[in-house]
Amino acid sequence: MSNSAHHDLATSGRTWASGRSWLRDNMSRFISLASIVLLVIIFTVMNPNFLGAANVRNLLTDISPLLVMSCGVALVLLLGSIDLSMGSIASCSAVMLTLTFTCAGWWSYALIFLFGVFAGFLNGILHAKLKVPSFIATLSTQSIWQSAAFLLSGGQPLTLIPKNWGYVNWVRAKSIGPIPLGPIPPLFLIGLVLMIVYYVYQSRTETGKTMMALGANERAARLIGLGINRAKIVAFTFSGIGAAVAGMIFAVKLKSGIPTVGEQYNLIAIASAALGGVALTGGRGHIILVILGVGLITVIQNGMNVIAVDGFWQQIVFGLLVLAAIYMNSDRRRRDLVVK
Amino acid sequence: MKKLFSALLVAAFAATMVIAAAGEKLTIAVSIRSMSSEYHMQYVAGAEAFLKTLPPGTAEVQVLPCESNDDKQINDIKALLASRGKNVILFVDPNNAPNITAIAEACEDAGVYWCSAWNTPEGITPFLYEYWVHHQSCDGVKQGYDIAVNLFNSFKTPGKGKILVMQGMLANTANTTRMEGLDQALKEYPGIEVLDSQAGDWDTKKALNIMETWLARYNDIDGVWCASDGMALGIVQALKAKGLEKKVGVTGVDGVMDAIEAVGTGDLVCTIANNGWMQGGYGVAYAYAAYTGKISPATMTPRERMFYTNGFLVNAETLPQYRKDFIESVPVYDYNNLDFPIARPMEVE
Amino acid sequence: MDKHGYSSPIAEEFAQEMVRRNKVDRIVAMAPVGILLFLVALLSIVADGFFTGYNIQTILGQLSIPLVMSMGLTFVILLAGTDLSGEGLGGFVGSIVILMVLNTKTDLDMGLWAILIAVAAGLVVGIISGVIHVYGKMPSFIVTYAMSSIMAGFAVLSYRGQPAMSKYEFFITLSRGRFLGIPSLTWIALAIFAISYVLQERTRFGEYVFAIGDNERVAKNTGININRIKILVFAWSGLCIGVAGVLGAIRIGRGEVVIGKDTVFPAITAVVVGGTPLTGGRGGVVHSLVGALIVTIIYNGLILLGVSTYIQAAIQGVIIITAVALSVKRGRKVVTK
Repeated sequence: MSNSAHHDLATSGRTWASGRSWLRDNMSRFISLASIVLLVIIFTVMNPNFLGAANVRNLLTDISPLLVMSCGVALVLLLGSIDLSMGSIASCSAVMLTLTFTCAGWWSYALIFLFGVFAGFLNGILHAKLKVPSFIATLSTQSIWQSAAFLLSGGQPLTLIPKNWGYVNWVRAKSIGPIPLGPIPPLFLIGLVLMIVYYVYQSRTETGKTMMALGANERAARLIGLGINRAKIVAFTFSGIGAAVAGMIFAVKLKSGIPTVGEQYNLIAIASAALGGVALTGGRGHIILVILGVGLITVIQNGMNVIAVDGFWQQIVFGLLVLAAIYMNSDRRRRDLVVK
Repeated sequence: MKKLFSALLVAAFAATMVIAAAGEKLTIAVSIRSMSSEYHMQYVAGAEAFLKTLPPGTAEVQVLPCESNDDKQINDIKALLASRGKNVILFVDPNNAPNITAIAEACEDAGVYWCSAWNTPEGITPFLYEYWVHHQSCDGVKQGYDIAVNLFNSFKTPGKGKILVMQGMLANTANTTRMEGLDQALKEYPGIEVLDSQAGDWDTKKALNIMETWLARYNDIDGVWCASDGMALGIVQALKAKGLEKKVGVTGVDGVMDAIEAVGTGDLVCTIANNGWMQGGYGVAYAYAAYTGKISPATMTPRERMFYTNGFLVNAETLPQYRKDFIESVPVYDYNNLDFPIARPMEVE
Repeated sequence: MDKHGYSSPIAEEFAQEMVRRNKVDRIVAMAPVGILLFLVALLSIVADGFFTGYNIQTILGQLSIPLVMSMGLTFVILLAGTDLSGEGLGGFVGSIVILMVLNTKTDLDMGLWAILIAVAAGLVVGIISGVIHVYGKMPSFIVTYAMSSIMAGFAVLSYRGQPAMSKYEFFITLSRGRFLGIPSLTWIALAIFAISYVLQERTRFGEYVFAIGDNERVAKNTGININRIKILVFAWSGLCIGVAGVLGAIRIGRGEVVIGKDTVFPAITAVVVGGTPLTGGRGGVVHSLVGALIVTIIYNGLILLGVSTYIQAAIQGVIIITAVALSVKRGRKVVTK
């Protein structure tokens, strides 16, 4: 086992010899936060409405589906694997939720949640037990769930019929019981809860910590006797859950079940996780910080419309800003770091 | 070094953004699928033509491309509304019909006047919302029907033949409505046999690949019902490679320049020019009229709030007329005559 | 210092060990070939029109773009990197090449120079991606993802909503021409394959790519100039994307950004199905040729069989996962990601 693998395995337990090394380790995270703050300042100077209550609520709602998807994929990335099926699991979930409200009412949410568990579990089994590389396994399940979404929707973009709007109007709620939410929308709360649950699981349970170890050095982890398959399967299951919750958020927010709604978000979720400091080769990353990456991407997207970037230039500016953001967030301190 | 580089990046970015920053002007927003879609860019050109009729400095056009992402379309519109207050009007071609609901609610909450084109979900109409000025559409179902009938009648034995169906993007409202029209036509023409149906995703090269493969399997094809001009041009390429152009009829929809030319050379049987210039121009004109108080949705007639616009079916016969009306002299629209684009009212169940 | 400028016999020894291991893996890699032969046999029996002259030519024609893209991607994936820039960059190259030859929109008529410039543009963007990745120490996934977005934007900007149509006779000849029964465009793709093979097997560059992919830290310690090799790999990938973009433009006869759409993932699938894992270090361009053939034939077969569009994606997925499950390396020491 090389020295840095030791170090990687150890940092998941997070003990620091001195305050200075804590500062050094977290420097890249501060920079991530700083880059969002910087962008927000720039956009607000350009257009003061950027930080208005309405836009903040927009931003937080926009963040929600991406947040849950990115947290889910972050766990898979920690393993050193990849999940390409989240987009279609989300699309399929959106379609199914729209359809099941009519017969299952409030239970629909639980049902689709279980679907997410199943879809993620399937990915985990295909990868861990059949030893299919995650790229191929999830690319294949992506096509399977995409086809399922088309079949279930009968090839139509479904609308949530007004009869069922009662099940989704809670997203506009401004308070939970007597507690006012202010500018925080309920959907964002769901995102936060999921993120915290994932973080706690990953950093405090044995299986969770194994996920990080697998990404750092799988052979070593096996020699130690960590539960490899279990960690892999659980990681993919959580990713599936994240995707299904994202799909439900889409359905509820857009009041529709469109079979292609999640398609574009897969790569964006992975990019957000990377911007949030999760290494794409695995073994490094912090779930809570994923929100920074998600925040960055969303601020960029949202901000471009607020300051009226010309339509032709939007994709160019987006790419440039992503490059700038990842540049500022890349960990360049360690000389022996291998970046792929 | 890194800090200097970051600072330079930020400064450069801020500089370019100062140039692009929005002022006190009215924003005329046009929400479309993508800048890469020739047809959608016609809306933008139409909006810009309308802009020229206003005093200079009154307003500016902002395009919101959603890149086929429904969530993004809604997020972008909400971001725009949040940043402009009431200083914005909107013209939307929803990526999928269901998006209308969220957009309608957002505009209603923000008190912003807007118009939509093409598709709305069942039961959702401008009459339910105070700020939704109008919904206009070419009749998508009728278009699918018209090009099908045109195609069937162009065969050696009119009404009898074998066709292939090239759909657009699956589960996309523009596609499903045209397919509905095709289905209606097929019911009326029992002599037509459908050999296969595939989705070309509005993608020229995907349609070409599919057509090539079809040609390997089917020797006896009379025509291809194709749901868009972009894909039709790809199909024509595949036919040309096998020397079958003009022998196999191909249809398209949208009316882009190259497709009109292809009708002229006989490579395409027909296409439908939807006239995005008119749709975009009047969509924006209506919203502007409501914004300035010239008209009010509450007092508009139903006919003005939901109507069909005319698409021009371009085939060998009608091509000269189309050329005269639209190419030799580019039409100039009088945006004060808001009645002009209305072909006939839409029925609401 | 030897004539390539690399010092140290350890570097050579290590690199040669990689080549030897690669030879062993080549035998293991026969599985995808088996799958390919199986698919061909199955489709010949089951699918009407599969084993006809015209269809074989169609398959070969449709093979050209995935093959060229996978040649560039093979080297990137051997390094355990990713190159997602094909979608935007391919669209950009395809758009500008049509604008530069005789076309319906501009007055330019640059003929072969246009091809050169367009492919060079691909090469330059590839180099830029490589430099940003290497010196910025940013993950290649994100850098190339961002590049794709940037180049897609430039592509649409280049024709401002109205794509140009090609009127260049040579392009038309190329798109329909055949030599010895194989479409001209496919010959170009095969030429790229041949060059890639030589790069992989007969140059030190190829050896070092395998070495870096297998274990980058060790490779660096043996004196291999990692940064330079990485940049060269991305440059090569950019060049291949450039060629693919030109081929795409020739095929459809128009310059639109859609030329690049849906080209990257099939190419990556081709590389992985062929036997080059995403973790790098093993496999190669011959594997990718087999993979590209598999991917193209599956798609062709599904259309010939008239499979419903709704479930086409699912069936492709099932076939791919079965193919890989059968051919993947197993064993206690093997780490799959």
